Amino acid sequence: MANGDELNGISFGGVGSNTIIKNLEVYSTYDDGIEMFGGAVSFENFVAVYVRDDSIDIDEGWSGSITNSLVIQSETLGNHCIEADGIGSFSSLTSDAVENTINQGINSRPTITNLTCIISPSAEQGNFDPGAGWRLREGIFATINDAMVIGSFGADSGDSNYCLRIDNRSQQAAQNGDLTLNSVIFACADKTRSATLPNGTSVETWASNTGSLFATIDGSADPTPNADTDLQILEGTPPIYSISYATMSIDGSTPTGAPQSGSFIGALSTSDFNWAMGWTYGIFEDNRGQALWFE
Amino acid sequence: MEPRELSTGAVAWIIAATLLAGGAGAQEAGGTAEETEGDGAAEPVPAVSNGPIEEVVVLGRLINSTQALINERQDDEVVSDVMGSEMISRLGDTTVAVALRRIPGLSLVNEKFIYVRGLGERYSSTLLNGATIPSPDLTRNVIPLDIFPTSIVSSLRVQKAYSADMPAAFGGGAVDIRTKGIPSGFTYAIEVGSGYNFENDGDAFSYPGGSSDRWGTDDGSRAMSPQLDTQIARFLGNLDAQGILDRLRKEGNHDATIADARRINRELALHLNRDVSVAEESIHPDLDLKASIGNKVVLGDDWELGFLVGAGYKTTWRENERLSRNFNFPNERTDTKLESTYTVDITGTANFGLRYLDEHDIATTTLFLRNTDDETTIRDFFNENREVSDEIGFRNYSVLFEERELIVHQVTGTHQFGELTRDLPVLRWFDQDWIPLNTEVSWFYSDTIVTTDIPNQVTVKAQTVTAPGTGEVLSSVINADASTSDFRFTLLDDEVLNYGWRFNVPATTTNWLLVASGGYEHAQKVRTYRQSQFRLGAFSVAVPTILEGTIGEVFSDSNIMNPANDFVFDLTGTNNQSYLAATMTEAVFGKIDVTWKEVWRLSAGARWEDYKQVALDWNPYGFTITDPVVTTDAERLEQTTFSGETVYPSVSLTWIAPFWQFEWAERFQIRLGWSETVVRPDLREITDASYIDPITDDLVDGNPGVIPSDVANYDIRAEFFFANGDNLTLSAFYKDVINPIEFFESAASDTTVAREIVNATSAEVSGVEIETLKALSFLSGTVGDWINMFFVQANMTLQDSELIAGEKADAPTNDVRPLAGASEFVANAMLGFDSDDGRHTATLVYNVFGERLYVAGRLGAPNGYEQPYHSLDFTYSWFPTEAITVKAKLRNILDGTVEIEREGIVVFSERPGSSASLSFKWEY
Repeated sequence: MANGDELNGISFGGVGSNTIIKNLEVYSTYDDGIEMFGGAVSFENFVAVYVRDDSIDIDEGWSGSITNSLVIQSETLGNHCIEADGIGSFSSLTSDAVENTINQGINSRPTITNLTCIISPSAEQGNFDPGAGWRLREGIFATINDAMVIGSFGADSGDSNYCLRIDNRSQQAAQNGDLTLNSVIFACADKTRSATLPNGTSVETWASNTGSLFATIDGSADPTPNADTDLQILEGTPPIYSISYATMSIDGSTPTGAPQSGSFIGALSTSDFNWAMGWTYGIFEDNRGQALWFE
Repeated sequence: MEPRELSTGAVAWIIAATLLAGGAGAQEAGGTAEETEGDGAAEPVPAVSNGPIEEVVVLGRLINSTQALINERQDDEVVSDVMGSEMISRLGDTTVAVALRRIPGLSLVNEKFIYVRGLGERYSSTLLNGATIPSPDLTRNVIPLDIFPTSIVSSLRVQKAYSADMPAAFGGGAVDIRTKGIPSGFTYAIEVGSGYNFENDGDAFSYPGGSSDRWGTDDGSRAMSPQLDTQIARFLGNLDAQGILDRLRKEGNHDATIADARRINRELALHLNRDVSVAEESIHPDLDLKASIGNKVVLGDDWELGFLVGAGYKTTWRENERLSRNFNFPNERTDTKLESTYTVDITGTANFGLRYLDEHDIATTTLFLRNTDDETTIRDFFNENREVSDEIGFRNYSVLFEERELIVHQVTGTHQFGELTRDLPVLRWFDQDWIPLNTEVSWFYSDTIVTTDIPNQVTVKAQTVTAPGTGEVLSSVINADASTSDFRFTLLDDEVLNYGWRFNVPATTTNWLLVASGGYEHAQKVRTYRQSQFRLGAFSVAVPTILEGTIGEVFSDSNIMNPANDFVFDLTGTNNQSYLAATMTEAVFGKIDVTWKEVWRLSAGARWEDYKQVALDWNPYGFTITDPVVTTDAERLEQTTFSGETVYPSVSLTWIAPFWQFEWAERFQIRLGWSETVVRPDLREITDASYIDPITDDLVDGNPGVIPSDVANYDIRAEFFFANGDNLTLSAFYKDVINPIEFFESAASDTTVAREIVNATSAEVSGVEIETLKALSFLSGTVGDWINMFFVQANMTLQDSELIAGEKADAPTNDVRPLAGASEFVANAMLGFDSDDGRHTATLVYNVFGERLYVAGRLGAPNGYEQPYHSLDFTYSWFPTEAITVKAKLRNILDGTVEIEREGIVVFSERPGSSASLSFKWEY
C-alpha cells in the first residue's frame, strides 16, 4: 500500500477458505467495496451500497464464492459491479507465463450465485469512472449463476456503461467453457463492450447462446411493474426484489430457461427469506438516511 | 633521474630505489596522504628515464600526462586504474560520473552511478582525497558522481582490488576523487563557455519559482510555513476536521462545531505555496564560468607556502521525453513524461599547503558543491482502468526543486623522518637511531556535511480527454478528490567525520626491501531524514468548470475557503517516511610489503573493523505516548541496531620481469590478488519504512532483516609497458558474493510496481579486461609521417555474472539470472590527435555497453533489459597562444535512443539528445 492510495472497504489479502464471512456490508466507500487479493475466502450475504469505485474487485487468483449479494450504486458515482483480474502482474507476463499460471490452477476462479447489481449508467466524473456492470479481465474462470445486472433506472450517459465486458484471456476462457454465466439477465442500453471471442463470436452472442438474456433498452426503462414498460424484473418497496422468474417480462415476453436453483434469480425475493433485513444500512426504510435514488 | 617533489610515500621511496635502473617516476600509492603539489598529471614527468624522454614530449600532451598516471598504476601494490585531469579535459567530460565510464570495467548507470565490473552501485564506494564522504542521494549510500565537476579533479583513481589500508566496505571498486592541490608557482585561469542540447525545442515547462533560483537555492518561498508547523503541534498531528474539533473542545471551546473545524482545516491549507501553475518558458543556452588563482611562495630556505582557490558557476536547461509502454498492452497503456530541468551548479574550492624541508607537508582542502535541479514535469498516461481506446486518460503535473550541497573540510599531514629532519637541532636531543630512515607518519581529518533539501515538491493529478487512436490530450481537468494534490517537504542531512593516521617504516638489505605499515581510522556518520507530506483536494466543487483552470487558479485562496467547494487538507501517510540513523566504524590495520631482488613483491595485510549501526523510524508528528516520536519498545529498539567486528585480509603478489628479460617490453609485470571485504546495506534500506524511489518511481519496502554481504575477490593482471609509451594490460577477475543484497519485485496492485530488498543466496562475477594505448607512428613508413600525430587507446571488458535468488525472493521469474546492471561487454575506444606544433589536439571517443538487466520479472514476467547504447563524443582544443585554450565539444553525436526491452517489446525509451559547446580559457 503506497501513501496516497485510496482505501477499499475491506481488502482480503490471501484469506483462506476456513475463514467464515457472513452478513457483510460496505457503504459509500471511496475506492472498492471488497477486494480479494488471492485466497479462497467465501462470502454469504453481502451488500455493497454507494461504492464509488468497483463494488466487488477480484485479483491475483481468488477462488472463493459469494452467495447472496446485493450491489446498489449511487445515481452519480460508482464504477463496476464486478471488476475481476485473474493473474498477478498479468500485464507484464508473456502468454506462456499466463498459461503456466492457468495450468497450475492459480488464476481467479470465483463462484458467484444470486447476485443483483443495480448500477447507474453515470458518466465519468473527473477521477470517478463511469458506472458499469461486470468487467471480467485476465483469465477469469468464473461461474456466475442466477444473477442480474440492471442499468436501466437511469439514462445511458454514452460513456462506457456496458453491462458485460470480457477482456483478453477471459475471452478464450469463455470460448473454452472455463467462464460460464448461467441464468443471468442483463438490462443495460449498452449490452456489452464490443468484443469478440477468439473464434469470432461476439461476447453478446456467446452469452445469449449460453443462456444469458439481454433486455433491449432504449435510453432508460423502469424495470418494475410500476411503469408500463417491456421490462419487468424487479418489484417491491424498495424495488430491489426479484420478480419470480416465471413471471418476469423481458422485451415484452417471459424469459426462456429457468433459475439454476429455486424460483428466482438475483439477491432477494418477496416470497423468500429476506437475508438483508435487520442488519444492513441504507436500503430499507427503517434504517437509512435517504431514499434510494430509483424509488 | 629528477626527483619527484610529490614522492612522499614510503612506497614511492621503495619504487624509486628499486627502479633506479628501470627508472619510473613514482607517486604516492593511494592511501590517505595528499598530493600537495598541484596537478601532478599536468607536469612533465621523466616517464621512462633511460632514453625515450624526447619521444614522450613529441607524442604530445596526452601521452605525456598519461605516463605519470601509468607509473602510479604500475607501482600500486594492487590493481588500480588512474585517470588524470588532462585526460578528462581531453575527453571533454564535465562530471566525474561521465569521465569514469572510460575506465575499463566501469559502466555508467542513470548518468549518476558507476557500476564496477557489473556490480550495482552499492558495490562501488567513493572517497574524496582518501576520506569517506556521505551521499546526498535520498535512497542510496553511494554518492551520485554527477555532482562532482571535473574542474576540481586532479585525478580519479579506481582501485579494483582491495588493500587493507582502505575501508573494508568494498565491493567492485573504490573511486578516489583527488582534488587539485596547490600549484608549483603563480597561476590563474578564467574560463567562459556555453552550449546547447539539440533535444531542447526552445520552450520548456516552468512554474513561478523564487527570486534566488538562479543561484540554485530557494529564497524561502518554497519553505514549509512555520505557522503550519505550529498548528500541526497544536492539533497533535491530527489535521482532519474531527481531530481539529476534538482539540478545540479540549482547549475549552465547547461551542465549536464541525463547520468551525472544517474552516480551520481549510485555513491550514492556505499555508502551502500553491503558486505552481505549469506554463511554458523560453530557455537560454548553457552558461559555464570558472576561475581560479593560486600561488606558491618560498619562505626562507626551508618553508614553502601555497594556495589555490577556485570557483565555478554553471546553468543548463534540458528538455527530456520518456515514453514507457506496458509489456502486454504497449499501445493501450502508455506513459509519456515531458520533463524540463533547469540545473545550477556552483562550486568553490580553497586549498592551502605548507611544506617544511621537503619532508613535512600539511594541506587543507575546503570544498563547496551545490547542485540544484529544478524540474517541471507533465506526465500523460493510461492504465488498465483507462486505456488509449477509452479516449480518456490521466495526467500528473509535478514540480521538484532539489538542492544538494556538499561541504568538505579536510586537513592532512605527512611527516617523513628523512636526513633533513634528523638533523634538526630540536630532534638531536633525542635518541632517534631506533627510527629507520624515511619512516613516514601521515594523518588526516575530514569533516563533511551533505544536505539534500526538496521544499514544496508538488504533484497534482488531472484527468484528460484524449484524441482517438493517438492518445493526444485534447483537454484536462484537475481531479476532484481528497488526494488530488501532494505537497512534500524533504530534508536529508548527513554529517560524516573521518580521521585516522598511519605509519610506514621501511627497511632494506641487499636483496630485500620491506615496508611495514599500520594505522588507525575512525569514521562516523549521522543522518537525519525528515519528510512531511500533505494532501489537498476537493471532494466536489460548486462549479465544476473551475477544475479546468491552472493549478494556481484551482487552489486559489477563495476556492479553498468557499465552503461550497468541499476542500479537505491533511497530513498524508503514516508518517513513517522519516528516520534517524548512524553508523560508526573503528578500524586498525597492519600491512607488510616485501620486495625481493626487484623481482618479487608480496604485500599482505589485515584490517580489523568494528562496525555499529542504528536506524530508527522517526515520526516528527508523534505527540502522544501511543504515537511516539520514536518507539519506546525495548525489543523494537534492539532490532534497530546492528554491530559486528571482523578481520578483512588482503594479499597481493607481484612478479616484475627484470628489464633485460624481454627486449620488446620496457617492463612486464604480473600480479595476483586476493581479499575479503564486506558490502553493507544502505541506512534507508534497513528502516522498516516504504518509500518511492525517485529514479524508478517504484514503491520500495525497507527490510530491517537485511544483513551485510561477504565478498571474496580474486584478481590477476599482466601489464606490458613499452619504451615508446605504448602499453597493454590484461586482467582477469572473479568475485564471489555471499548474501548479496538485491532488489526483487514483490506483490502489488497492477498500477504499482513494488520492490523489496532481500539477501539473495549468492552471486558470482568473472571476467577479463583488456586495455591498451598505442601510438600509430609504426605506420609512418606505410602512410606517411602525419600518422605520428595519432594514437589509439582502447579497453574492453567481457564478463559473466550469475545471481542465485534463493528463497527470500518473492516468486522471481528466474531463480538464476545475471546481476542487475551487468553488461556482458563494455568497450571504449579513443582516437587521439596531437599536432606537431602542439597547438591542436582532438579526440574522438566511442563507448558502448552490452545489454544489461534493468529489472527482473516476477511470476513469469520477462526480465527487462536495457539495450546497448552507442555514444560518440568529439572534443577539439586549440591553443593559439600559451595562455589561451579554445575548446569545442560535440557530445553524443550518434543521438541514439535509450531503450529497455522485455522479450522484444520496447517498454521504455528516452532520447538524451546531442549537444554542442564551446569554451574559451585564459590561464597563466
